[in-house]
Amino acid sequence: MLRLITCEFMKLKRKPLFFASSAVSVLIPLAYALFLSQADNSVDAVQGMMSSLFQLSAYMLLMPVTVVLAANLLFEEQDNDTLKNLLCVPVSRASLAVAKLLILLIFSVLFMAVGGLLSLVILLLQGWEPVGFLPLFFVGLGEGVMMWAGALPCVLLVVFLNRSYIISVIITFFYTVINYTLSTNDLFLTQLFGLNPGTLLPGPLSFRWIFQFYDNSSPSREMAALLERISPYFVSGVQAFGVVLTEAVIFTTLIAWAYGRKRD
Amino acid sequence: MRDYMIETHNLTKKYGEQVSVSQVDIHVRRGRIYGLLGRNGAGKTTTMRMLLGLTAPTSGMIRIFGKNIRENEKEILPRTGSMIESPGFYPNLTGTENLRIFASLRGLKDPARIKNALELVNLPYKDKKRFSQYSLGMKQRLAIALAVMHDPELLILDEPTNGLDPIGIAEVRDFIRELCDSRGKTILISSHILSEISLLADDIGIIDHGRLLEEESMEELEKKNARFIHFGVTNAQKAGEILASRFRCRQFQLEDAGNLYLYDTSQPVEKINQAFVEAGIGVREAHLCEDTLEDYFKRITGGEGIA
Ligand SMILES: Nc1ncnc2c1ncn2[C@@H]1O[C@H](COP(=O)(O)OP(=O)(O)O)[C@@H](O)[C@H]1O
Ligand SMILES: [Mg+2]
Repeated sequence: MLRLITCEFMKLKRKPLFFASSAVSVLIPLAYALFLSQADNSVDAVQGMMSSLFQLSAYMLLMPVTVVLAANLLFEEQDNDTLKNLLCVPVSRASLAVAKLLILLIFSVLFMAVGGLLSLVILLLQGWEPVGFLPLFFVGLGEGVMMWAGALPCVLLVVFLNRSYIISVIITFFYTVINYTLSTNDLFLTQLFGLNPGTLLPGPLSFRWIFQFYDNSSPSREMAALLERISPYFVSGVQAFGVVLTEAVIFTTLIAWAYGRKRD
Repeated sequence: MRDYMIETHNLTKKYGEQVSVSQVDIHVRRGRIYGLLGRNGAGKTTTMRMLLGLTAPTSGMIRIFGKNIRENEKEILPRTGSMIESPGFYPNLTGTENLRIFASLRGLKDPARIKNALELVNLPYKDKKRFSQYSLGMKQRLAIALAVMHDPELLILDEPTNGLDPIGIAEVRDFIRELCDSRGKTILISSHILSEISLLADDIGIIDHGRLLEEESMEELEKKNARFIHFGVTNAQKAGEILASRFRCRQFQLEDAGNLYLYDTSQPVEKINQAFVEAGIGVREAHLCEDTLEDYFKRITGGEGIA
């Protein structure tokens, strides 16, 4: 498996889509620094920066980018007719799919790491103290894992629809919008931990986990109200990752199975 | 029983209603070059894909190295090198980088393997050119390099000279011959080009419309079919009856109502001629012919020739 993963890395060389996807990781921090940031103190500055990273960069960009990249990686062997060479090694289709998904996991975490580090650099350049940055940085890495796991159902669908890029993009778009909307909707944020959309969907789940890491010692009035409503529904790291990793295992298995089906 | 590297029995593949390969029995002997000859669409690629486990047979048996391919893929495939249809590589990588990926997957640690394989097919090592910029001939060479890189005992090559220029074709042919003669490899090669098979193969299988019509060694084939006597007669049917009854000879074929081919060239031509005339059959011509492989192919497949 390690060999397969190394080989997946080697295949990324000179691949435009991969570079474009990586470049997307710096978009939100830069845009936020240029257009949105307005803070009175270091705590606010760090928090504003990082929450934009968690909510915009992760939901709106990372998740769709992960699905598109997944479609590209998974179809690459058919498109280049390299599958026959791999199968004759022999490499099984299922293990190939798992290797590709693991590469995407690494990509997602690095995506958030790059965004986090860039945010730090911007904050320092703006002259703020990086108070409370480190925990939030790790929360960002955790969210990378969540977004990756959250993208897997979409990847499964793409594999089932077999090489239809346009449909994949449409599905991804709707999935992204739904996740984002749900993560800002009280109805889903205030569901108890259990078998419900608020727990199972990556948007609301990660929101309910991340929110407790913000410094809320002096919240604005709206924040205080939101906090009061949703704080009973916060999920712990163990709960959040328990759900996410279980989902990841289930969907990875399904994707490996769908990808492994012989099609003739 | 002979030492077969590849043996199939009743190998059949159906795509829906269409039968692509039908009850094929192939026998590839150790240390020999087996040429699978057939027109485009005859079923060569499908057969080879089944041998490699890339496509599941609809029915029939495959043994490679005497073992069943299904349960022994992990043992059989590393000892086999293959190229199937068009070369498939990553367009964003160079030839060397492409081979490096497969070398790593095969667990080949020594970089000299890649270098040697590329040298064998006359491609530069560590060249900057990407696969997407390769000419068809270079792509084909890279595919051959991939097939031989891990020094397999058995090679399965599907139309390996496709897209090569005449010099390249001759080079590849010499190189395949060399692999067989001095390194003892067993090679199954397919082609729709007759001259290629006749110049290279030790054994030949003729496949047409999914059926293996003939399987023979080249020597036997030459012995059996190099010469025959062509009779141009007014009644081939009756001539055949006379051959059978008077000369006790059955090695002939009625081409049409006016032509008969006699394969047993030891028969007394004058006497046969006389017998025909006595029986009231007009004889236009009677002469010795050299059968080329192409004639043979036409006769076997009952259709037009092959280039
Ligand atoms: N995946 C497939 N689906 C349906 N038909 C196929 C498929 N592959 C090959 N065939 C058919 O099987 C027949 C044999 O094809 P092939 O083995 O490629 O012939 P050859 O390699 O001798 O040119 C052809 O009629 C082809 O159309
Ligand atoms: Mg073919």
